[in-house]
Amino acid sequence: MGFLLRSDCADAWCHFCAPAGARVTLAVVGTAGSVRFASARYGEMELVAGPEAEEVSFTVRPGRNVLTAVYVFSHGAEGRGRLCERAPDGRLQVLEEDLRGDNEVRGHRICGV
Amino acid sequence: MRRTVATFLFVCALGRGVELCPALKEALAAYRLETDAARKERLLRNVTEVERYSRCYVEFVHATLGYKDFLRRIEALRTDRQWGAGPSGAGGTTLVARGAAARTLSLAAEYGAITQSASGQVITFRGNLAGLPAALVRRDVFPYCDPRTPKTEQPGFCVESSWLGQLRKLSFGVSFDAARSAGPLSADPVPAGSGTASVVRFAADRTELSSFDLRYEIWNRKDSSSRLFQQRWQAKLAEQSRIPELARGLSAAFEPVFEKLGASQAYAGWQAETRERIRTASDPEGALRSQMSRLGMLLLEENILTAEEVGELRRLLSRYGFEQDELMELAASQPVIAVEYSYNRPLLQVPESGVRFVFDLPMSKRWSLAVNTAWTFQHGASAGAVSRGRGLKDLELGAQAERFLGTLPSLGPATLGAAGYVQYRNSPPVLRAPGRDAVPGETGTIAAAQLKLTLGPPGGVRIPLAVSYSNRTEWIAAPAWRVQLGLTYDFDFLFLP
Repeated sequence: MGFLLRSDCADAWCHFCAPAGARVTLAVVGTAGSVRFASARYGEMELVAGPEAEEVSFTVRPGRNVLTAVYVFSHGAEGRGRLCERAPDGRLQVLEEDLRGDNEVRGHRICGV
Repeated sequence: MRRTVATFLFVCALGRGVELCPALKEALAAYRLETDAARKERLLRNVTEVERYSRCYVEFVHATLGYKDFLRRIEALRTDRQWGAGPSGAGGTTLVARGAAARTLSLAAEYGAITQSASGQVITFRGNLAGLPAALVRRDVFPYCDPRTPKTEQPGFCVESSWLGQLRKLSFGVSFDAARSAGPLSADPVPAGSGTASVVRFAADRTELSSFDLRYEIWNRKDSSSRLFQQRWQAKLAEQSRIPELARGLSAAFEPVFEKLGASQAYAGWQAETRERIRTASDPEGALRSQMSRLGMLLLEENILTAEEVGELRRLLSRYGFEQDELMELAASQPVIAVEYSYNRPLLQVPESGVRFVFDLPMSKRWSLAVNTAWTFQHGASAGAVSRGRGLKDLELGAQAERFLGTLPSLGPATLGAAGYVQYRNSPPVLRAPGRDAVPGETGTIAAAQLKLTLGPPGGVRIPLAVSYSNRTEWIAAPAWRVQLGLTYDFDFLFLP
């Protein structure tokens, strides 16, 4: 099974879209220092159980939804990273090239289609 | 209506003077340089997304709404600090001092002695000069100079992280001997050269201050690029609670904003209009600034955010930035060399001063090595035999290897340390019991070894448990096995948000 999230969505509102009901795993990779999820809320649920996480998983809800993520960077304002989708076989697909330490709160629009 | 128009014009006028954040400036520069049409359009779309540049937009809207509120910040927890009394105290669990001290204020109650004849109970307050301003930033008393905010948008007075870095180098400790006022204390002084012990009862001395010290970190090793730094950062992130708490507060605060923005036709219209203006503008940065200054009004009119909520988001972002910077500083900065001056008032002896050099060498993620060397001088002049107690009292050398054992269930982070210590007594200690002749001790060498387990259950508490062996003590020329116990509390936890 491959990647589920796409960026070429029919609805221009969406940053990414995936089949509704699909289980998706997002991972972060640091490009300048380390980056982690400090918090991630999707459908009013907190996805980060501990103090931080390298990955979060959730089930894609139908329609337009926002994943609100707060990242923590080891290099503070200079920290940079990538948001990726992790496939069940472990491969990574880059979704966002530009996670930044000076804009740690992000709203990712994810549509279930 | 007239009021809305006037406010709109006022806000637009303010917006022209507000500086864009570096992230948006970089994004606009990338947009200008991009030649591929599809990528250029994607970059343009990104620039107009509050969801992507949340901090930039909040800062800008806050500035255009004319706010001048303050930003606050906090401090973190370390397991490698010097919490309690130093090695010279009558009640202490430490044979070899560590380089870093408490970041705000710590309180340690310790019982035991290692090279002293009489075990004492010592309560030590230890603090750091950066602790107070950092706590005030966290309590929103002083603003923080957030490097994520353009300089022009920072308050007139704010606490620089570089100031905190300098203040953090200076720490202090004050120890009180709880046993001094609790009643008579027994000890076994040894007359010089006698080789036999005799018991002497000391009268209680009502003065409780037993020692104080000042410590300056001469050299801090800065390392923010190595693998070891990444490991330390991750470990410290996992063991502290401020960042997760603030992050959850931020995501809970931003979630409804992002949802309302996503559903707002007015916001979508503003994005389309902004993109068009940037496309056709000779000065894209000016065009974006002008549009961003309109956004504040739009957010208010669409009930997406109130002015108070904008201020609160900014405050949360600032505190979150502060905590990240503090965590980075904590993981990157490793004290290597510190110098400490201590003034000690041993019971029924002349006061003494000491200068100690502390070398703290983190060897790996789990291992650290600390080396101390100290010179102690006695104060005051006395007659006869007592005068022999003047001048250089002793020389000390100690080393401690410590291993981080990991985080134990219910017991928290645990470390195991093994230390060795040698003290050469140049001048004999002199006991001056009231109503008795002065009794000098002996010169010579005292050697001691200690094994110490430190547990750190949640809640800012540290429990050091140690056992030590010495070939003799200051008064008794016989080997001694001792147990040292302690309980320390880190007041940083009181300053949690």
